[in-house]
Parts: sequence; C-alpha cells; structure tokens
Amino acid sequence: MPVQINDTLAHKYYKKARKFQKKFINDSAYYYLQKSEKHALQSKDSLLLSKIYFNKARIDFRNSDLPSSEDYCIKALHIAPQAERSNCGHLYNLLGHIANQKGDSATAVKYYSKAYILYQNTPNNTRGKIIYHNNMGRINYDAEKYQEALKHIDSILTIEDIKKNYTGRYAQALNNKAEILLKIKQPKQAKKLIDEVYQIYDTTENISGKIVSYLNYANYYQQTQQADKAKNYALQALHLAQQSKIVRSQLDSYKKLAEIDSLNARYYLTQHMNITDSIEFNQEKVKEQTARIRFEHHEKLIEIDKQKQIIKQNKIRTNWMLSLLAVIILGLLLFTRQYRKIKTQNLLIKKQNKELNEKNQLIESIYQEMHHRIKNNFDIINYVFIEKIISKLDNNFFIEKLKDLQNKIASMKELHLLLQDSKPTSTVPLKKYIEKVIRLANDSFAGQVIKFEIDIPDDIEILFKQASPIGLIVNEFITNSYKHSLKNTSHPLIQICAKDLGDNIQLTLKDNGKGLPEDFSIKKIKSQGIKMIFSLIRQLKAKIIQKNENGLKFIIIFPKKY
Amino acid sequence: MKKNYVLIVDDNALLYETLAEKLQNENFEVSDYTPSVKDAIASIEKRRPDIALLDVMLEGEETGLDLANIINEKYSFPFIFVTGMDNDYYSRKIQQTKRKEFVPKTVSYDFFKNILRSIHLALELAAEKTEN
Repeated sequence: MPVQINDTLAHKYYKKARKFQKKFINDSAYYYLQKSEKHALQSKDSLLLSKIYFNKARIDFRNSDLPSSEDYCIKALHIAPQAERSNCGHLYNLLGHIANQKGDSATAVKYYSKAYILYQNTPNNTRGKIIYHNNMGRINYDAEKYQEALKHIDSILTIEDIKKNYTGRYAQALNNKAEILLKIKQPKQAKKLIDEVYQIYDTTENISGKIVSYLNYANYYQQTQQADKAKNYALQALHLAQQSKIVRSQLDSYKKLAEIDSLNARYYLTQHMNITDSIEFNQEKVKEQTARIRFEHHEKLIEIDKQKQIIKQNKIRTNWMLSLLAVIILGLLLFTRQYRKIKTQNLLIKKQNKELNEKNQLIESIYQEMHHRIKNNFDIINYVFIEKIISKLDNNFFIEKLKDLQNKIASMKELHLLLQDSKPTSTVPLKKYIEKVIRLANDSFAGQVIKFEIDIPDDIEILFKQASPIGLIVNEFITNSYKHSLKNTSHPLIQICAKDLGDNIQLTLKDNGKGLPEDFSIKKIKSQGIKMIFSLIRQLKAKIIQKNENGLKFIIIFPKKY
Repeated sequence: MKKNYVLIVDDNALLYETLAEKLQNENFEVSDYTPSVKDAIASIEKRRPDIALLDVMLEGEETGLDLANIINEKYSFPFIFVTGMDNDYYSRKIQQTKRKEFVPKTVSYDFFKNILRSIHLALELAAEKTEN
C-alpha cells in the first residue's frame, strides 16, 4: 500500500492493521481496521475507507466468509472516490475469486474482465494483463478447457519484456503451460519449457522453484515412460524439499513418488500421511493457539482501550473535584477570615459602645447628684442659716432685708431648677421661662397683686448661659416695681415683651408706676437691685435703654450668641 | 502712695462687681470687667497689672489655666487663682502652673479677707524678688 503523508489517527490505525495482516494475524488486523474505519467515517476520508473495506474483504475471504467479503468489496467500490474508480481492478479481481469459490465461473469471468479493463488505463496495466490471463487460465484449466487455458498463457508469455520485468510470473506461466502440454500429450514442447523454467529457477537460485522444476521433470519422464528418471527427479525434489523444510513441496514429492514408484506407493503414501497428519495435527494446534492468542490479543486491546477511557474520565473527574475542592477551601478560608475580622470588629464596637454608655450614665448620675446637692444647699442656706438669723433678730429693717435675701436665693434656686432639665448646650424658650420667673416673683409678694401682660413670640429661644442673668434681671425689675415703682399705683401693671431682631433679641420691661426723676443717671442709683441689673447687662454684652414712659421702661437688646 | 493695679479675670459680672468694689475700697486699682482670656491679654497689653486674680471657668475656649501658662511664659507678674471650684482635678492643674517665684493659691470668694491677705503676700514676694 502506498504510504500516506497525512498521519491522522485513521491512517495510524490502518497502518497497524496492515502490519498485522501481513503477518496473517487477521483478528488484530480486523480490529484495527475497525478502529480506522470509525475515524475515517468521522473525517469522511472515502479513499481510506475503500482501502479499509478492501482489506476487510480480503481477511473475510481468507476466513472463507464469502458473503461478508463480497459485501465489503461492493462497499469499497461504492465509496471509492470518482478519481480512484479506475484503480479498483484489485476489487474486481477479489470479486472474481469469490465468484470462483462459489462455483460461479461465468460471473468470475465477468469480474476478471472488468478488472482487466480497469487495469488497462493505469500504469499497472501489464500486471493487470498478467493477472487477468492468469485468472482466466486457471478457470479454463479447472474447467478442463485446455486450449483456452493455453491461449491465455500464451497471452502472458507474449507480453513484451515479460521475461525481464516479471520473471517470476513468466516462469510460472511457463510452468503452467508445460503442465497443460503434458496433459494434452505434447511432451516434446513441454520438455523445452521445463528446461527453460529450470534455467530460470537455477539462475535465480529459487529453491521452491527448483523443486517445482524437478517435479516437472518427474512429470515429463513419467509421461514419456521413463520411470527411473522420473523417480530420480522426484527424489531430488523430495530431498531438496526436506533440506529446505518446505512442507508442501515434500508432500508434492511424496505424492509424485507414489505415482511413479507404485511398488513403494504405500510407503510414500504413509510418509505423506504422516506429514499431513502431523501437519494437520500441528495445524490444529497452531490454529488453536493462534486463535487463542489472537483472541486474547484482541481482548487485551479492547480492555486497554476501555482502561484508557476510564482513566481519561477519572482524570477529568478528579481534576474537576480537586479544583472544586480548592475553590471551596479558598472560599472557606476567605469566609472564615472575613467572619473573624467582622467578629472582632463587632466585639470591639460592642466594647466601645458599652464604655460610652457607662460613661454617659456616669455623667448623668453625677449631673443629677450635683443638681440635687445644689438644690439642697440653696434650701439649707435659705431656710436654715438665714432663717436662724432672722429668728434671732427683732429689728424689722434687718429682718426685711434678710427676707429679701431669702427671696433672691429662693428665686435663684427656682431658676436653677428650671434649667436643671435642659442640657447646657441647648436653648430655653424665652416665653415659658419668663412666665416661670414672674410666678416665682409673685410668690414672694403674696400680699400685693400686680397685673402682668406678656407679649413674647413662642419661637424666641435664649442660650442656657443667658437664662440665669435674664431671669435675675426680670426678677429684680419686678421686685423693684413691687417695692418702689408700683408702691402707690392704683392699677399696677407690668408689661414684658420681646422681639426677634435677627442677630439680637429685644426685651422690654415696663411698669405704669412713678418712673424715675428727670435728671436720673443710672450710674448714680443706689439701689442694689438696679446695680445688679447693670452688672448682668454687662455680662450679657447687652445694651440697656432706660426711659420714662408713664412709668419705668427698660429696653434691653442682647445678642443671640456671644 | 502708689496704687497697685489688679486684673480680675472672671466671667461672672456680679462677682466681679463685688470684688472690684471691695478692692477699690482697699486702695487698689481694678481692671474693667474681663470675662475671657482674649480680653485679659488685651488688657495686659494695654496696662501691665501688678497682680491678677484668675477664675478657672471663663468665657470662650481657653480657661484660667491656659491664661496662667501664658502669663508664666510671656509676662512676669504674680497671679492668684480665685475660684469656687475647689476639687482635686483643678488643684492638680493649678499646681502645674506655679513658678518658683509666685505661688498661686486657690482662694474662695467666701472670705474676702483671705483674698486680701493672699494679694498682699504675693506682692511682697514679687517685690523681694526684684530687689535681689
């Protein structure tokens, strides 16, 4: 088979198959042909497929499976690519052999003829000719149509330069002709041919060919009634066959000897039988063995194939599983790391929160405690210490002064209580605060009644630190009004109003009393209360305008923030 | 007789008034109402006092302790802490501000006599120092 350049899997298997086929290990060859067929079908390589089918047909023919062989031949023919159709001579030849085996010589002839025609158009056309005439010769010989057979052999012998180019085939043809000539009782012509054959085989040192020549001579001499010479040659053939251990030739020799030497026929036939028996016996053994070996080999191949598949699958599966495992582990690691991180962070946050809460609570409790103590201290000062002093006095002037003092302290305490609930950073609504201050002041002057008019928008707010001074100022104003300004007024009235001036707040305090004298100077006033008001004004960074308008009027303008 | 000039740094106007009046009666010159460190420094730059009375809680961010440190670094006149806050935290801080020459004391407002005594003592110490 010509070597393919392109080494696909299909071709690799095909080559292997051919190797086995040449060694007659047909089962393995068949197995690899199958494999090659599978791949060739996939790649749709029709040229290779036709070759595969041809070889399958050959193996089937050897195993005497004629129907299968025929099927494959036809398959091969059908699938052969158009370009290759002319090279299918070998396929028709095989079909011819099949037909011949079946006993259908007519069809065989048809096929051989077709093969011959196809060979004609190829470079192998001589070979094709020889094959054709050989086949035809054989058919005619089997049918005992000797003249026809001779014609075909002559066709071979007359091919140009056949002796040079196809020496083997030439010798064979001569041999066949000689055989036929002897059969049709033309010994002289036969002898010529036999001599020529011998020469050829002698010069080419072809041993089996030589044995054939000797047997030819034996035949000739047998025909020409020269039994001794015939026997000689037959014995020569036998010896050579034995020497070169060619079993078949030995058998032929023994057969011939039995024909020639009828006296010793039994001996020769026994020898023959021995060999055939042993051959047969050996053949059986060998057949059995080879069959077993082939079978095992075949089985092994299948097994190996299976194993390969399994290993492949396992590899893939383990790869998948390993990578999956790796991913999972990685995922777990990352997850646990994150988890732990988050956990520790959470713990830290919790701890911090706890600490902050504790601190807050501590501050709260300190705050409460402090307020309580302050409240207590106020009360102690007022109703213990000062009260004691008052109780020990009998001078009304001093008692009154001390009671004023108590009032101041009491209002300071109330102011403190007012502010207790607010946080130092928050603001205090002015209206509510002023109302409380008024109520406190009124409590101290139970006997007298002053009417209050309040005009403060609900949304005005003052800072925590402004509350105390403002409260004291208002309280002082009211006290001063009670004591001096509104002392003898019939319908005493105090008006307090506030206005939002953007950056500042304006607080107006007015009573309808006596007011102050015309040449009044704030600086000269002796009243402690008024003096205090001015100190507080300074603390508030406020401005104060004093007017006489049917009574005392203070306009206080203080900044919202300072 | 030369009058000593006292700087009073306190944000409580009523207390300032009372103290100022009392000191004036004792023949001291007294600064105006100085409620914050900023005002105090301005006042010092305008007229260097002979002694200062400092409250801890003042108006604004900086406290009397900050002012004490500034006085120690930039100026050199004696000062006395006068505060109603008489607790460990502040006394420790007050200790940190003292310089060898001048002894800051924590004197409460309750007894004016104590204040006067401290003022006189400090002035005398300062006078001795300058002589030496």
